[in-house]
Amino acid sequence: MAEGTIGSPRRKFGGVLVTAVVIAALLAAAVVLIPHYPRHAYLSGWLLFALMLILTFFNLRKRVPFLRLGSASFWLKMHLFLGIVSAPLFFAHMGWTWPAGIFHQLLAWCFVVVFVSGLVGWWMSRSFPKKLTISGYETPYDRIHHARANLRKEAEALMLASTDGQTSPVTIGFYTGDLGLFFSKPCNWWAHLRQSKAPQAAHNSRFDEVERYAKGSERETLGRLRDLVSRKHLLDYQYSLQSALRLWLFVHIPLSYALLVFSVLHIVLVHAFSAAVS
Amino acid sequence: MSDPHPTPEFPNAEYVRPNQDWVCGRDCQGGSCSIGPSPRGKCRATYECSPRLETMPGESKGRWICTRAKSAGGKCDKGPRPDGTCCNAIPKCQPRLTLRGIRKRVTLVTILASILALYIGIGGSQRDAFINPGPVSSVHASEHFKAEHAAMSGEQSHCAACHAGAGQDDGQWHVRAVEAFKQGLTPHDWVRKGPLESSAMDLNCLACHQGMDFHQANVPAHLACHACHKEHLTDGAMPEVDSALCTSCHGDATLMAKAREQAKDFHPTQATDSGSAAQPRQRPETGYTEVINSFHTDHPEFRQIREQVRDENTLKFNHAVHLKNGGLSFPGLNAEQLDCRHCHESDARGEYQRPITYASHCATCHPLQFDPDTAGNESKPGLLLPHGDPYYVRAYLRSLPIQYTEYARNQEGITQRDALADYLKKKEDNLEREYQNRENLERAVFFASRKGEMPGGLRAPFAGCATCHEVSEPKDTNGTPGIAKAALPQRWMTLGSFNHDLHSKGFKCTDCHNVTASEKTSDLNLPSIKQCVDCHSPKGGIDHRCIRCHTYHHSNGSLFGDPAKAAPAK
Repeated sequence: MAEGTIGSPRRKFGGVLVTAVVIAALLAAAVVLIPHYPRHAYLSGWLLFALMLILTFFNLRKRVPFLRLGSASFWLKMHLFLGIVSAPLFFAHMGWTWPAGIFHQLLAWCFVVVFVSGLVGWWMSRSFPKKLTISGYETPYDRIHHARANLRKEAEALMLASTDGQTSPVTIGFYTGDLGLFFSKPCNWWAHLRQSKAPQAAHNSRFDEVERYAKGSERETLGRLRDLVSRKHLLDYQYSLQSALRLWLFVHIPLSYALLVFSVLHIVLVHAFSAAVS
Repeated sequence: MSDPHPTPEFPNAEYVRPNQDWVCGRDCQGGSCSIGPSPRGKCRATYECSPRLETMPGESKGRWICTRAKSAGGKCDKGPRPDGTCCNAIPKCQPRLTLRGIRKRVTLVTILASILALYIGIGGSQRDAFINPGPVSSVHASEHFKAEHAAMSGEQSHCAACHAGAGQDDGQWHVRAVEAFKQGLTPHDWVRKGPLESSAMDLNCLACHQGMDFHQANVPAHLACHACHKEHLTDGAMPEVDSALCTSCHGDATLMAKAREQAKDFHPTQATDSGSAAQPRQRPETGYTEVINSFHTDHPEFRQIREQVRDENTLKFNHAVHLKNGGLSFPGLNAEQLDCRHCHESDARGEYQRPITYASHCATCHPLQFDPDTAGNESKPGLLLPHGDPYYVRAYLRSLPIQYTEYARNQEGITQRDALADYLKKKEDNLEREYQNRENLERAVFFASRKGEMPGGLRAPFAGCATCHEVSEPKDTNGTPGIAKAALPQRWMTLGSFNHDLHSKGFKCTDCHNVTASEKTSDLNLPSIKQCVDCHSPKGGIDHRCIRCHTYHHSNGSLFGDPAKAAPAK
């Protein structure tokens, strides 16, 4: 890999270093300067609010591609950087204590959940794509249901073709009892998210049991069915990880807007109740 | 090597619009229609094609031609109906929300729920509790405070006691916020150095804490109450003031120079103390403007020691004599030795010493007795001169016949007229033999020293007023000798507080006050700051914050406006 290219270890290390230096500088400034600047909370508060606006409306960049505001990769890095920097700024703003009031706890919890969900999302977006590629059978999320429908059709066609009156009732029971439902919807969401192979192992075990009762041509059918089940597991794995990559946004984005709403009231309150006008 | 599980293939013409909120309801079955649902989620499927009317030359009616796309199977066998509609109607579906669409709705619901939560929180009866950023200190959270505040302002909101904005309609908060932003909280103010200066909110504090805004006359800028007294941090007592707040001014050479300049206008105004009865002192020429960063590094030596202040009390007292050989013995049966605490009694709080009075602390050893034959004992007080005013002493001496008669009647039990006359005659003879006349007796009472010596070589059998006091000759022939009034300062270092009780644990009085060698009244016997720093420093491990000794407020005002209540117990 060429040195200094996007995604190279050198660039990654540089990013981490810059973030760490900025955070360290922020913390040092907080320790040294805060005693001398008693109104620092207003400064850090407005900074935080500006950061929140930038972070929340990160997606707006996608709506105005014609403006050429930089690459998506650059904006994602900025989002990550500003998001991480906002955490020490937030705690410095709070005076390194946890608020006790109802509204301010709500605000603080909102920030923490948004921050943590962002970190979780970042971690997933860094680790899941590799896993999805390694596992094979990569399928775009919007095509997964289509692929699942095709697998189900194939499995149904296979079973219909092999049903000639001689098929073992064990095989038919296995398909109608277990596999029919398995092919019709996504299964084992949590197990796949935990990288568990137990569901597939359970199916393999069931196949081994059923094959004991199968005759010659039926074994071949079961072999092809086993392959379809294996692909369905891979498809479920794709679905599980790809949906997780989207579902964390259900926490991150709505609460980001809630945080903005709370922040606006917080700003109004601290100014309206400030010593300047009280 | 080929991938054992390659990506499944999909028809390119398949309807996929991942960025839209709705997808075809049959998408999951792999049979979605090409037109797709409307942006509002309505199925728009009608027919597989829209037939086109073709009219040949010479024909008037023409014929309908199927226009089904090749990707959808091309022209159908049946063709359009006679009325021009397609014969293959597409069954309607129930469009399905995409994750993106669901997320949009969840976001919208969350925003609405947040606004609703705020509306309930602010609009409800628990508004104060909802917006309160933290617990209020116990005093300001008390029911008494609430009642006082409600009575003073007529405002029911507890927050309004300090924050005028809380008393207003919620709809006006944003107006006040903009006002605050324009007035004292502009971006320029956010980065202004130095402690918070007094503001409009202080007036609310001073409504109860009258006069507590005074620090020193030459202070460059008055601080805001909340600069030191932080609220909304704990439900107990307010946190103690951080020394950094004090040194933010006192450690700033520029500010102190400014204060020094201002002090010139105020010098030599008498220093204002916290209601103490200390000897009147003048403000230092420079005010209290030495640059101080901490007690243990650069706090100046105590002013009394630095300026070698002497006790100007006219009373003659020799600590060394009283404490010689471990302390003089008390007269009487119990052979108790004199100790510091016999004279210096702690006040109720254990901080300072009660005032020393003749009656409580001197009379036992120094009775004002002039006639050895009328000495008192445990059952009778004896004949003693009054203490306090030389005029009364002279009046007493000039009424001696009456005093002797009263003494004989009350303490000797002589009641018969003849016996009383004999007793009085005998006493007057004794006095005449001893002093020749009454004038000499008066002079002996006023001028006799501890050993009974008098000016002019006369001697008296008792110690007169001059033993302890400076006595001056009368101004005229019939005048009373003058006695300089004793002035015992209760405290010397009035700008700092001190707790003697705390220090008595592990220390003797003489560890700090070198009184065993002090022979003069003018000796202050105060310890140097070095002795304090031994313990009150990071090395010594004992609290060395500014507030341990000092208070910002130096006012005669009090919490409820009564100066008498503000004076600390001495």
